[in-house]
Amino acid sequence: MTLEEMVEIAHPQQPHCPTILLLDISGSMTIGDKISQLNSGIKAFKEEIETDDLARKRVDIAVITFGKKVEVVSDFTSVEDFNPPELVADGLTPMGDAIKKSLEILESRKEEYKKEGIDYYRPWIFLITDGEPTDMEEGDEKWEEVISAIHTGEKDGKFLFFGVGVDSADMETLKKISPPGRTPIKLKENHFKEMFMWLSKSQAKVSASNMGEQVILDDPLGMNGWGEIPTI
Amino acid sequence: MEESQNYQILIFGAKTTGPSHIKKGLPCQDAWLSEVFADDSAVIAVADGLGSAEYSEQGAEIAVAAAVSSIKEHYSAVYEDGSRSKDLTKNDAMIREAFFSAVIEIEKYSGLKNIPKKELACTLIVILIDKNTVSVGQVGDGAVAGELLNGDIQILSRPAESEYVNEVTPITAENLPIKISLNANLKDIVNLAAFTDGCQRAVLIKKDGEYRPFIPFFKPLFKYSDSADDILAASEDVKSLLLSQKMTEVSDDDKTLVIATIKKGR
Repeated sequence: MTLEEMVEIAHPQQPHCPTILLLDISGSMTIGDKISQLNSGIKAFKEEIETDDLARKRVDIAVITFGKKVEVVSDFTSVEDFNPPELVADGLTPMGDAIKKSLEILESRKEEYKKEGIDYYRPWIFLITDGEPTDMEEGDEKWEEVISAIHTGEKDGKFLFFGVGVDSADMETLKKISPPGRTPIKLKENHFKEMFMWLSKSQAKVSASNMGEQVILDDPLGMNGWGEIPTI
Repeated sequence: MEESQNYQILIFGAKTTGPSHIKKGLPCQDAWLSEVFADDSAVIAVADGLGSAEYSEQGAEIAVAAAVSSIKEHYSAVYEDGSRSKDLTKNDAMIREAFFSAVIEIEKYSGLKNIPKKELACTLIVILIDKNTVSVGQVGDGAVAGELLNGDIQILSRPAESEYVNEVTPITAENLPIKISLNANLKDIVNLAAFTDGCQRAVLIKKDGEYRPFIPFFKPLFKYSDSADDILAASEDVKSLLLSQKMTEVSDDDKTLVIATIKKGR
């Protein structure tokens, strides 16, 4: 018997790559039909990730929306089991509570991973908004709490936070919310699909990375990219 | 007396380039080196160059060479009064020194070739077998498992804590002294296996947040090493194992596995 035949190996669970889509579905998302572009973007994201053997098994996706209320539309699930929701736009922009919710479900997800002995990659929180928070204002208590949670969380390596502004989004405010050093990106008009393609490609790269490997993402701002950084 | 007994140490192993490295045209960034000084002592060094560092395969080679030669000096240096340097130096101190030597050599090379130090970044495991004791130092991932005289299989050195699966601290990072995890003078070890992270997921399991050796892997492996006598043939067998589908389907990274068998008397 060869050594290869003699030994058995552990069949570990795939390492997981948690991602939260934090989506603004306030009433204004109906303008210019942004909401249906968002809906088809999410579907395209799922389809694209499913074409990648590793990412399909490793990416865990959760969707939180904020509009009429803050809702965990889809808690963490593998991409295979993920059913893209049909989101309906309505209400205000309770972004502060939505961010708090996202950090909450992220922490409990990490606890589950640890309990199950599942390795994981640094989580991504991907915020998409076309407005500004209506449940907090610069300087108030919630604002301070939320901003500090994002900034220290990113600094301590708890997650990567990406802010994306759509259409008439208040980029100035989004910049203050986003971690220093990660400027929010302004989505080019009608580029939802391109953005989600980039996201799926990036997640595929991250989920295929080995120990100590640096992942180089495609530049979202290039000629064929989906975004731009406003210079206001 | 135990001290006066003879120990025969047999070391064999292999490193293989991971399928993902082959696909990307990258070299194998793992390196290992060992030396048996006399019948009863030996050193093994295993390094894994970071994927994010451009010349990490060179860093890994430099690290293992420097670590082995640093420990070797203690075994060869004899003072005027006939005492040996290694008898005057504690095992854990020798291991620490091996790590510093590795970093110093990497720094020298970095200056000489004008390559930033971080582009030579690697992890390092140094094992010193001194008669009937084993001492292990480690920075970064990979691990060492060992079999005790009573047949128990334990982890002798575990992967450094890192929250995320693709992030690791190399020996070239700041504050090296506090990063060295040391387990010195472990007794009653008859077999040990050191490996890089490419093997980690196939041979370790995680339970309640703790790494444990996967016994159905190590038990037969150590049984094999107990009866091995031809180092070259055994190394070839390890190589075949590392290249087997069994191992590559769990990880497409570079893999190194080095085994030492410590046989008492003859």
